[in-house]
Amino acid sequence: MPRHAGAVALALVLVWCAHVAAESSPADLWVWGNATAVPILTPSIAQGLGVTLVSQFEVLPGGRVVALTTAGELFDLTARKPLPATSPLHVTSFTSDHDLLITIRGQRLGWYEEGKIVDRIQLPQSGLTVAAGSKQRLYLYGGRGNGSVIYLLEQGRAGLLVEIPNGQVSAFTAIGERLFFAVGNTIYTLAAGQPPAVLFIAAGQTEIRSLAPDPVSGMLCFSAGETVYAMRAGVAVSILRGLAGVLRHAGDALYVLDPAGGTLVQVRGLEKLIGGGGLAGSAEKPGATPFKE
Amino acid sequence: MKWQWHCGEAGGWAPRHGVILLCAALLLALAAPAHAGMALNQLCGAAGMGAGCVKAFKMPASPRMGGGMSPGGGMFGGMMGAIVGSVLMDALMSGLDEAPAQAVQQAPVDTARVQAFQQALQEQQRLQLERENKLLSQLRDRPASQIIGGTQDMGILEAVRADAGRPFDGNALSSPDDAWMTLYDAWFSPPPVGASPQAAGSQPVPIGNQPVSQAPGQLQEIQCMGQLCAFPPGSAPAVTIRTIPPPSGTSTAPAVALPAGGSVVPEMHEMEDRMVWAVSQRFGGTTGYPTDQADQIEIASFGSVTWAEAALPGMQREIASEGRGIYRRVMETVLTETFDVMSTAFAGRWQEALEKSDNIGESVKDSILSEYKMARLILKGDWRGAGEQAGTALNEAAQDTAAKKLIDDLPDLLRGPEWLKEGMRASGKVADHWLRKPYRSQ
Repeated sequence: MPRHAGAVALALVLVWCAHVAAESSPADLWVWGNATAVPILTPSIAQGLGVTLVSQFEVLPGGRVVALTTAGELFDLTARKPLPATSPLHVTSFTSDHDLLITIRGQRLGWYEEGKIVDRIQLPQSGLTVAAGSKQRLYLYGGRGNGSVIYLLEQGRAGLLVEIPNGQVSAFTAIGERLFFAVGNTIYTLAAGQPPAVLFIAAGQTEIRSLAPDPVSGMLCFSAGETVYAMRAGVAVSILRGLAGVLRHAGDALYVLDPAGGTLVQVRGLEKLIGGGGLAGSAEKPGATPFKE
Repeated sequence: MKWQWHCGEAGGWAPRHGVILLCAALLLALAAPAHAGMALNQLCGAAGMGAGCVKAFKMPASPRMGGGMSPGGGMFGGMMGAIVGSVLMDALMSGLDEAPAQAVQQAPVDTARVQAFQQALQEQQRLQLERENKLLSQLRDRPASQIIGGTQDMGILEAVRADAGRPFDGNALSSPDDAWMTLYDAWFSPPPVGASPQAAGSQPVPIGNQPVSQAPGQLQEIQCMGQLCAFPPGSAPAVTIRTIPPPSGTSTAPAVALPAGGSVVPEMHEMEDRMVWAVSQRFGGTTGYPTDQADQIEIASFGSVTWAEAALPGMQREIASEGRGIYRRVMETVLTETFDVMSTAFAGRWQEALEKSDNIGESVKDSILSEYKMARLILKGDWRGAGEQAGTALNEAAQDTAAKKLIDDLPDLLRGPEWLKEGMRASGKVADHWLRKPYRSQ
């Protein structure tokens, strides 16, 4: 009987809730009042899994979250087990482009397939991070001397796109033809045919850790310190606090991973920051948000 | 009860429609003559908007999509009312074609009244559609600065910008790729080199005069020997960027001078009053899981409502969100009944917990019967009361959907044996990416 099944489901969910409840978070975590935050990974679960993450993860089509471990494994946080590997993968960076997991290990660019890494391109240096753009473009960025470089690879061709003599790129993302990257607490933007430009300066912060464009609302989210901000048109507002997070946007959600703390949170509802619709205002009415404190 | 047999065997939303339709047909057959205007007003009344609310559909007083719950105004003071009214209307509309036939079996039918009522419903639906389209148009097609007549309807970013006394130059956009193309024009595209930078970073500020080229012609071909390919030898970068010196680490940031001239004033805002505890912290905090049963139920209720919100699709999520208080109360009722089951299950006695759960249906019978109550109220002509019951039924429908979704997700939630599937092996399937294409040997 459906109702009984629902009750059973609720009971089981309660057990799960109680299980999660029993796991305490060492840090206070705050989210914007109109957003919904759902923890996907908690410190105790991460501890139970025996996994230590680094600051790289991807949300694949279908919502499956894959993260990179300190051991160079690709770990499926949704299934809570590592991806099959016939031998240690030793991945140092990875990204996803549709169904392909593109990897860097050491100084070689390749991809993950059937439990192993297929190396394809010898890179000009080590210590690069790979990011995917549109139209199967790949971007590699990393430090070189006191500065940074950004390489572009596209359809079997490659080249040095950007040289930054005096700063380390701490975050990078691409959407469409446009790139965003951060050096220190400043976000820069690049697009074909246009000069580079300063997009935003995060006052009071020393380094922007991660960038994630929200293509639906047109906001650019970034993280710095233990705060996540949503920025648009030169104004940034804090939307989440308590996580030194790396960001990814997928579907209608922002994912925030704190690799050191072993926490992954899925945040929805940030589109309410934009627009004059009732969605933004309704929840601010007294009594409409019983959980606001 | 025979009446219950006529007015609804519970079990899914479609049967509830049937309940409404059947009872509406009975009402049509039994009630005094009605015409379109009366029907409209009845519907408005059912939606809690008062008699005369037709005007509201024709000329909304506010561009808000929905008003949500108003304090002391009941659950139908805005979006809930609109939704409930709309659903009632949909239910009646979708089944009126069948309703006369059903009604014939129980009472004579005045075809003219049915047609009048149907026309009224169609008109009401048209007005509602018109209103929704108008609101959507306002939200999507106009620059935000024209939408926001009052601060009460502003999004946070617009409000911040308005507070700063500057026009907001973006649009409320919705489609992913096109939105970004428009955004380039709105504020990502820097002005021509040489122009004065805009204050406060409302547009990117150029820091050089060297346009970037990402054209494939600027790139060199990757050469391969064997299966491993070589990155092209070093060449000049397409663009060199000399970053600006970092401003001081204080929160009151001074204007930052830019290499190409001009300056930019960073603008950051901390939303202290808009933050709430997140789920994970609310669950346990640093003091561990509460021992008090009431607290545990409260926490479990919070968690399941939040999960339901995340799991519910579209309108039902809106309902769960807008009617959170009601939804929560219903959930708490159920949760109180299921606490024993939860405790048993949490103790690892799964079979016993499942057996206990079989008795829950009887315990929560009262809330299950809300659709029956609604049908009775319709028969009595108490449209407002029926509307309120419909709202309860909607919340139950939302629960049903959430429960079904959660049943689907249970293996995930509980990390049971179902998780031991191949998972990401699928990611190793052949992808049509240039990187995987056969290499070209030199």
